[in-house]
Amino acid sequence: MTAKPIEADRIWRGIALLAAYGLPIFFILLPLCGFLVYSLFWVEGTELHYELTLVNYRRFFTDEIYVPVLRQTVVLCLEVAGLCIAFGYPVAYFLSGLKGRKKYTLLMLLLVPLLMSYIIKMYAIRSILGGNGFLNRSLIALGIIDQPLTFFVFNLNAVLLTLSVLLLPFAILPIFLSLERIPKNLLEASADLGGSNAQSFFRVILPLSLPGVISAATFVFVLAIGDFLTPQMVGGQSGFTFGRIIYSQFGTAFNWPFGSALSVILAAVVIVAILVGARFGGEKAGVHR
Amino acid sequence: MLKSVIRGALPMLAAATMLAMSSSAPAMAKELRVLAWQGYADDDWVKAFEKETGADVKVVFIGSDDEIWAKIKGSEGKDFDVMAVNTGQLQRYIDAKLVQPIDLSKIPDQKANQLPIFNDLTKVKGVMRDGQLYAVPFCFDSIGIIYNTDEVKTPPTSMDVLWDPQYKGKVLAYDNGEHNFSFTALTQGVQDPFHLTAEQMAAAKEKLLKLKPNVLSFYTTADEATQIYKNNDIALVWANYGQQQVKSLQDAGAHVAYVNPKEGALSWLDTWAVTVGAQDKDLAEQWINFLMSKQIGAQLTERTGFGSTTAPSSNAKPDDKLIYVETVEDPTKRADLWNEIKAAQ
Amino acid sequence: MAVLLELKGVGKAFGATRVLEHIDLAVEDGEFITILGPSGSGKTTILRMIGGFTQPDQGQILLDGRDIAHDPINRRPFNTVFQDYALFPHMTVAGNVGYGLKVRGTANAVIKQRVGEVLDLVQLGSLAARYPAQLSGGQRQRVALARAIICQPRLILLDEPLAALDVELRKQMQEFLKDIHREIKTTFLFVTHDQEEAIAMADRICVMNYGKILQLGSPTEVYYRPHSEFVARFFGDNNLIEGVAGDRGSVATPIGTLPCAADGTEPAAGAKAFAVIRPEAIRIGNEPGANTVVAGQVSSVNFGGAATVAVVDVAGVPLRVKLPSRAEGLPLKVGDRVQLAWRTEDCRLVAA
Repeated sequence: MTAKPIEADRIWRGIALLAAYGLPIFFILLPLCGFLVYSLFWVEGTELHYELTLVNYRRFFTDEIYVPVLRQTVVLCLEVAGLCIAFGYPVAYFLSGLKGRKKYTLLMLLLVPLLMSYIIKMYAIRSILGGNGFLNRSLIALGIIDQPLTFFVFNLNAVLLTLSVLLLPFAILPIFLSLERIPKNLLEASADLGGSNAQSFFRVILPLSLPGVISAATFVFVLAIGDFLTPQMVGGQSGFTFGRIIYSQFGTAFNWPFGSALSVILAAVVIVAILVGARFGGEKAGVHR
Repeated sequence: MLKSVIRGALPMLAAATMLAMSSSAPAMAKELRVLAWQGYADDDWVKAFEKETGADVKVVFIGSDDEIWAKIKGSEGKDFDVMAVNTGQLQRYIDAKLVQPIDLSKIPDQKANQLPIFNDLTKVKGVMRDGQLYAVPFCFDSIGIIYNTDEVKTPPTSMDVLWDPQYKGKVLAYDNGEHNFSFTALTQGVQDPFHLTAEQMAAAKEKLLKLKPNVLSFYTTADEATQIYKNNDIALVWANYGQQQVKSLQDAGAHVAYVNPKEGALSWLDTWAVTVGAQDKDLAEQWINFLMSKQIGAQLTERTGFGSTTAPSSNAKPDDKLIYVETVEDPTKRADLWNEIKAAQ
Repeated sequence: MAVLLELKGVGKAFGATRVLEHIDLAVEDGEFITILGPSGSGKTTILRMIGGFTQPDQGQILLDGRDIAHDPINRRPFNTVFQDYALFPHMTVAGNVGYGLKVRGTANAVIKQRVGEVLDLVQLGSLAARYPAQLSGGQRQRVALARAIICQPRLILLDEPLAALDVELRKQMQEFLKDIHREIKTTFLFVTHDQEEAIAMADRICVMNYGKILQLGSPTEVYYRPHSEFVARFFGDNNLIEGVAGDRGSVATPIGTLPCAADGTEPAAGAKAFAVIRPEAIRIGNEPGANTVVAGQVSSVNFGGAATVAVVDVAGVPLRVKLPSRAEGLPLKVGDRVQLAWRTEDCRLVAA
């Protein structure tokens, strides 16, 4: 039968379609919907009531701790994004200026931390930043300070620093890729027209790498806001974030509906961040109509 | 459920196989099915017990309180004869009639060997109900204060030391609302720290808020606390993991000592209880009696670091006041309040 | 004309590959000079060295008597039209064109006025607010040109700027570039691999291959008086008849000893050589004024629009003859015996 190969083709295409749409639906959309549904139930003592209510959302907006903590967390994550850009951009710029094998070897080395266990990295960071940690001991040994600084550890600064260090690779990569995509002859054109290195950077490279900067910022922000381990491990008594609250609702309070409601709210923040990033990034990329 | 069915089926299958293999099979040996935590039924003890009684002991180890509940509730107590359970958890097994009263006269070593604070079981909270004994204490650990002997010259006596302004930023506390409210209520003279009234709860919250400036960090695991201790200047640790934590710190080279506070130390107390489905209640009681030996008590402490109820240990001094943790009035409420405390600036 | 820029003994190697061998070249002020060669001939390297994008290993690039070979790009009073235009995608047409003035700190009002003038010159006045992505290839080409001329450079470097355009547009742009050149009177150095383009546009053509300059001269010179086999073959469909050079510019070939025009560049007597005759210089029949006449048989006649090319077999050597086409057809058919005639000055002699 001549129709057979076409039939098989159609089946394969169907499977591919199923994978392309099915996986995100199964692993992202359905769980999210699950959260959404769960967030409409409510808990009394240890009893879960399967009745639809908005009480969890009302509680989020009326209780005095949730909105401020969310606001503080958003600000913190914006700062993390800012720091990651500030440190990641020069690194990415330096990398993209390298030639041949050296460039990719170094890039690989920078990405190696991504393969390491999160907890181990955090332990390492904590022993660097701690009161008797490497940083303080070095500063004391150098005679710069005589008492250990408590500025770096077990407070929001520590969360900021740790998240920035952990998420730096996620900032470097998109910036590096956007820098790589800038045709080298645009730099030649800029210099040819009399532009100094600084002028070429600020007028040509920087604006053209902005889409990468924005996707880096979006990446870092989204990853940072979802993180609940870092504030626990280095935040001390003041480094409390929204992720911690959600975690406690599932982990210790067993108030899954409220935890789900908070998760849905966090997901909304993340989606807004991604949309803003996409819109900004698209505009800056010089894609017009 | 499925697991317990399979577990129930396996011995039968094994027995059937043995029968088929040997026509001259002896009468069915006595069998004891034990549900226990690691370290509560070590091989050498099991072998000795089997030799002494001729019984066949089958031990299943569990990893969490919820797992015990699932296994016992799932089979309505029929899959196991004897189980290890803490006094807080025990209550729901009594409520659900999954455990049966124990005849203490079958366990003479309890009276003979148990330490003074456990000897009179009518004074051990949680093991008796309506005049009936439901469980025999086996081992315990307390949540005391670990203090840095280089910094804290006079041994502290009360958890109040955690609030001492001279230890600002040098306290490691545990990240758990339930326990934190309980121990704070104890420092405020509350009799039942597990069932706080609204006023008691509010007072404890106020006091916990004042603890924050002294706290460097809230930890969750013993390992984590040790790691923070090594890299920072710590004077006091609220020791959720008791002796285990002391040992971990000492291994790391820290100069630390341990005390239970005078207002009472929150403690857990693990006991042995007999299920309603026990095939051979006598054998189950024999097992409990067997574990009441001083030698096993000493071995237990040596091997696990937990306090034995028969052999003295550093987990508690003879006159220490231990307060066995119970299910609290409203865990969700405590978790929410704890979040508010942590979120407070 | 005065010399604007002079390359003296310039050489360059990339690793083991020598891309330029001892180049001497003087660019005259105000001329339209084309560097013509196949890919890999070194023509682009010369342009990039003048622009400052590459440094020579040896030699000097003299501007006003000063060696600028190692000056930074942005200090050279030259501007470049890049092969793929290299327009800044995030700037409008006006932004692109005004860039050179902007980085010099020119006042915005002046920039605006100059951009307007230059855009008018390249006939893009109405597109100032568009982005490069919204322009056609020809329009982008003009923006690139406007951007290069706005700073009034001493020299404009054009790196195969028409290569990406289709044939029709390329013809238009050739005219356009010549017009602009006449208008602004700036020196143009134009690099191309297309000999028709070079002939159509240049005042002088510098033919290159293998990193060397093979011939430098006006389009008619390099077209009609090639000095080498390569140049003779590079410009279209020349007839090359192999033989041995004799005295006074003659060459002994299978179709007889042919007299050739001599200009002192011929190979010595006895050397292997080619007689080079352009197909359009050959006439059918013994015409008056012709110095050389041979006989042969027509083997093919191919109509090609304005011209018809006939191939005539002369003693086993095929010679192409290009004749003006006529509507009623040429009185030639395959198999006809014909005489071919040409003048001595139309026959050149080059070394084989």
